[in-house]
Amino acid sequence: MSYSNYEQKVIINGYQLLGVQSVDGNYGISEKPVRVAGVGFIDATIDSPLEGNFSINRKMVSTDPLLSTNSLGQYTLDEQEIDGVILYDNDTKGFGFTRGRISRYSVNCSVGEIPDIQVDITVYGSLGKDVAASATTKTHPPIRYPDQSSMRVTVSDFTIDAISDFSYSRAINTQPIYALPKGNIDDWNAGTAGTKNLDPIQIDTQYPIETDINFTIIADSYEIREIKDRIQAAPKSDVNIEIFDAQAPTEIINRFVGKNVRLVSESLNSNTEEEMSISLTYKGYETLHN
Amino acid sequence: MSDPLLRFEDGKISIGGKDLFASSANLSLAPTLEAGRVYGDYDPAIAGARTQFVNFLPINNLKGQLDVSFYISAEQFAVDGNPNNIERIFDIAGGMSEAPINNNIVGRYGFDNMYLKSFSFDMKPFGIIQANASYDIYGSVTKVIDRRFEKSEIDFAHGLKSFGNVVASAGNQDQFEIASLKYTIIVGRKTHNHIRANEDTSINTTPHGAIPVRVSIENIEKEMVLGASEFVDNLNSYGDQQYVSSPESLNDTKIEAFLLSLQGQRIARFSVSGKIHSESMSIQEGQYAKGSITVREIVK
Repeated sequence: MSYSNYEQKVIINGYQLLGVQSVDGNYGISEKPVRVAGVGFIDATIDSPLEGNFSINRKMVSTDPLLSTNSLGQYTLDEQEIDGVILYDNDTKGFGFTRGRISRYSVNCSVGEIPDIQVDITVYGSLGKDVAASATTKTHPPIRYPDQSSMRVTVSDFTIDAISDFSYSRAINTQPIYALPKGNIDDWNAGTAGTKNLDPIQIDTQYPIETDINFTIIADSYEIREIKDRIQAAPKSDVNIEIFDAQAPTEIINRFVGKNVRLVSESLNSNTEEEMSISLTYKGYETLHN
Repeated sequence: MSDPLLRFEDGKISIGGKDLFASSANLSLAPTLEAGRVYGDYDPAIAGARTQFVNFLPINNLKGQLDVSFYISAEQFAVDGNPNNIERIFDIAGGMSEAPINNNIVGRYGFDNMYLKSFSFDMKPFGIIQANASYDIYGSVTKVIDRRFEKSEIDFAHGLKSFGNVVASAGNQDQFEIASLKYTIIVGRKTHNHIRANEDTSINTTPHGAIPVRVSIENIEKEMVLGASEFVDNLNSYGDQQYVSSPESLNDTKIEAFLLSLQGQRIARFSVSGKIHSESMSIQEGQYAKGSITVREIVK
């Protein structure tokens, strides 16, 4: 029996995600070959902990529940672990994971498209069938569609021309720490460790989180800056990407902010087929305490 | 006829007639020589005798060393925690035998009169456990035919199943997450050469030359270095953790390592119960704070 594309649910942190286009899940075990003098290769043994990866592609059809923020405006999932599962066969089977951390979050959009969201998750806990196979526990925000007229990109230090596409991504490096199993003489007599420590004892986010924002504008009033001036001045800007509901233009769906980002590259493209465009790339670094 | 260079797969390493699962070995030999200078013939130019070099002269036993790194396995080291013959080759303990280990082979060379000097192993999460042993060798080596042995599946000691335990002298146990464990036991030895035993010229009829009549065990010390999330607070000058108003009657700090194979078989356990001789805490960019604690115990 096979399972077609409308028979699956993707549940992350209790939310059944909407607009999912594709999900890829995998895990890998690293082995070390053991070679012995007088014999050669004998066997290969496990050499590092199991780590898995999940990649979820969605269309932005609502406020993203994975973008929840705390009272300081920081994304809560920068520091929190997440569980998830792909359920199928009337929710009776699942491929789930525990102790995942978002390693990359990106949004891409071009004129005439609904924005794409890609979330990459690194899994440090369990992964497989019957793991985190719980049903939906939280209500996903309602469906709302943006269109090209309901998106706005603003940069703090200049008036922007018409935008033909943009991308926004945050790369979050995480560092898992593993420890030896623990136990005492009673555990020795029982033949197994008291605390097995198969999962990391701690997973931390390594700051800064790098934010990359790129957008292409149709050249009108904007002129590329003189590079030496920019190097000497090294100005910082705030870039806001706001995506509103096409049906209710005052209601925001998602907002992506690059605070104190620097313009790191500009490129001009001109050809016989299209209007002249200028592509701007900004880079920012988010720290733990900002 | 064999190839001029010995392949790793043909370089069997045996100690005491038992084959080791060795990943590397280093065998070295060095005679102890001194320049022999004597007064020569009379030289009328200086109205005296000139000093002249005659030859290098041996002033001690021909001594070698074997350092071997090997994998600890359930098959060779112990069976369900009970020592077997090969484990005794690495056993350093009070009351251990002073007898030499004979019938040793490293690749194409065989030798006798070997004495264990140190044994150590490292444990780290998710890693195979590798041990190191170091031996003193007296006498020379002879060429033997290189050999290999057959093995297809071995149950190695592994950090996945093995575990550790730390109890500081004040009883703190749960504060330590163990990132690594290194166990080392060292035996200090002394050679005894009897005057009459090595005088006869017959000792030079073989390249072994003069061999010590006894290599005694003078002292045994063991040490455990713990890499951990914390280090011991309230450390006093006695090397104990002191939370009370007197350093008297405090327990020793104890670190234990329990070695199990990947299949879950109990192989061996090691412990050090003694004083904290040093500890350190380091923190650097991109890393967690790491503690290191060294505990030593005198066995003899």
